[in-house]
Amino acid sequence: MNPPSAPARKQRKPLRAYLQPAFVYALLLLGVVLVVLPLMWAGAASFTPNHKVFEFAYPFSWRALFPVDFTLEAYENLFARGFGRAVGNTFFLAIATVILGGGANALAGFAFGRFEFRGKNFLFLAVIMLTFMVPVDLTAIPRYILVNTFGWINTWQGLLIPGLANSLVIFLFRQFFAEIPQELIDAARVDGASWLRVLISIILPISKPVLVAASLLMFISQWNAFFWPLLVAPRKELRVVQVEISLAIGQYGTIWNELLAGSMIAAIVPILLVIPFQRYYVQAITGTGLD
Amino acid sequence: MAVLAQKKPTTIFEKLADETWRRKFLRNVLIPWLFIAPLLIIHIFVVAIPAVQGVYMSMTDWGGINPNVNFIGLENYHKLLFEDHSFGKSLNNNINWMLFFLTVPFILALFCATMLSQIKRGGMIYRSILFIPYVLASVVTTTIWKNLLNPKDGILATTARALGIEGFEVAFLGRTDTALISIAFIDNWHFWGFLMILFLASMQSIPPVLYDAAKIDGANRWEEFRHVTLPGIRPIVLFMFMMVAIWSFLAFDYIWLITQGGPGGASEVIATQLYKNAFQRFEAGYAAAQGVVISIFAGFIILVFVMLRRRGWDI
Repeated sequence: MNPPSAPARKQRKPLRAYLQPAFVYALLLLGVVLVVLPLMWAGAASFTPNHKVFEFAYPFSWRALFPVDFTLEAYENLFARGFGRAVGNTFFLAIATVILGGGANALAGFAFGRFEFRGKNFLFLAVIMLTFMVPVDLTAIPRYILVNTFGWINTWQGLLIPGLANSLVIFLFRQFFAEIPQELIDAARVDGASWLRVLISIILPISKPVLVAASLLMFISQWNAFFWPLLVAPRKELRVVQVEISLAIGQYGTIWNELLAGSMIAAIVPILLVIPFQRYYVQAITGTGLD
Repeated sequence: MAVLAQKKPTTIFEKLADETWRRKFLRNVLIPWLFIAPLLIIHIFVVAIPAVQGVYMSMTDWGGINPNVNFIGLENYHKLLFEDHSFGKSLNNNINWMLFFLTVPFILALFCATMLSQIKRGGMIYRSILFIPYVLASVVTTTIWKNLLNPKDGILATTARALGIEGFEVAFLGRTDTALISIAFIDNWHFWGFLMILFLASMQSIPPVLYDAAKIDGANRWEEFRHVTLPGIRPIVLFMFMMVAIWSFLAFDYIWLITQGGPGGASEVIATQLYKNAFQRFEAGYAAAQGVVISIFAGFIILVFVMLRRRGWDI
C-alpha cells in the first residue's frame, strides 16, 4: 500500500531499488513453482495414456509437465464408469447446502447480531466452541447411529442435513449483520415490515460480500467433503466425487491417469470459484472481528 | 401513556393482556428464538446429542455393533492413560505435529505475506496461485503427492540427484523416521497459503502512516517488521496459533489418506487410532474415550487462550 507520495522528483533510483523488488519477485516465483509444478504434472498425466504416465516423471524431466501423446482416454474411461453421476451428485449436494445451510446460518447470524435475548452469549459460545472442540470422528459414530435410526443411511437427507450448520458461516453473518446501521432497520419497522421482511428485503440486498463469501465457504467444504459421505452413503448412485476417487485408488490402483483425471475435475471446480471471488473470501474471514 | 403508574403485570393472563409486555416478549424472546430455531435443531442433532452420547459411550464397553452395552465407569480412561502404550506414542506424534505446524507454516506465511505486501504489480496473481492448494480436497492433494514422493525415483529424489545432492533417494512415506514429517510437509503444502492470505489482508489494513513514522525514525526493514507489522497483525496471528494448536490434536485426514498411521505406527495420531478402534477393531467405547480426551485437550487450549485474553494480553 502506497502512502500518497510527494510530487515525483526527477532522480535516478539507486541500483538497490531495482534489485530488491527483483529479489522479492524471484522468491515468490519459487513459491509459485512449488504450488504449480505438482498440479501441472498431475494435469499433464491425466491427458497421457496410462502406460506413458511415468515415462518422464521417473526420472523427472520437464517433459513430464506436458501431456505425452495427448489423449482424452482417461476422462472418457472415467465417465464411462459413471463418474459423471458423482460430479452431478456433488454439484447438487453443494448447491443444496449453500441454499439450505445459508438460510439456516443467516437466520441464526441475524438473531445473534441484531437481537438481545437471555442466554444469547452462552448459546453462541456453545454452538461455536462445541464444533471447534469436538473431533469429527468422536461424534461420527453416535451421529451415524442417530441418522440410522431415522432410516437415513444411503439417502440424500443423511448426506445433506449434517453438513448444514457451519460455525464459521454463522460467525461471518453475525459480524456483518451487527454492523448494519440501525436507522435502515428502524425505517422499515416503522413502515410495518415484519422482521423476516426486514431481513429479506432490506438486509440481504446490501449483504453481497458476506453472501458470496459464505456461499463459497459452504460450497467448497461440501464439494471437498469425504469422510461423512463415505460413511453414510456408500451406495453407488449417491457417491460424491471425493468418495469415487478414493475408492478408485483401491479398486483400480494402477490406472493412474484416470485417478489423476478425477482429481483434476475435483480440483478445477474450487479453483475456478475461488480465483474470481477470492477478494470476498479474504474480506469475510479477516472481517470476523479478529482484526 | 401512564407507564409509571401502571402496576407491573404478574400473572400470565395479565401479561398477555398487557401490550408493552407482549411487544417486549416478541422482540426479546419469541422472534430471536424463532430465527435461531432451524440452526439450533440441526446443531442439537448433529453435534450436541452425538457429543453427549460420545461421552456416555466412553464409559461403556460397547463394541459398536452388538446391542450388548455395559456401564464400566472410567475403566476405558484408566486403560487409555495407564496401560495402552500406543496412546502415549500417538500423543507424542500429535505434539510433534503441533510443533511443526506452529512454526513452519507461520514462518513461511509471515515471510511471503511480507514480500507480497511490498510488490506493486502482479500481487493478485501471486496471491491467487499461492492460495490454490488450500481449496483442494485432501483426497486430491494426497493422490498427487503420493505419486510425487514415489520411493522409486520420485520428483524430489531425481531433482536432488540432478543437482548433485545425495541422500534424497528415500521412501519418505514408507520409513518410520520420515513418514510423519513427510505427511506434515504435504499437509503444509496445502495449508500455509491460507495463513499467508489472512496475514496479508491483515497487513494491508495497517495504516501506512505508521510505516512512514518508522522510516522517519530511521528504522530498517527488520525493525519495521518487528515494531509496526507484527504488532499490527498480532490478533490474527495469535488467533491462528490457537486454531492450529487445536487442529493439531484433531489431525486426521491427511495422515489417514496417506499412511493410515503406518508404517509400524510411526505416523499414528490419536484420531487415526480412534478411527481404527471404532471402525476396524469394533471397540467403540474405547474409541469414544480417546475422542473425549482429544476434546479435553482442545478445550484446554481454548481456555488458556481465553485466560490470556482476560489477563489483558490483548489477543
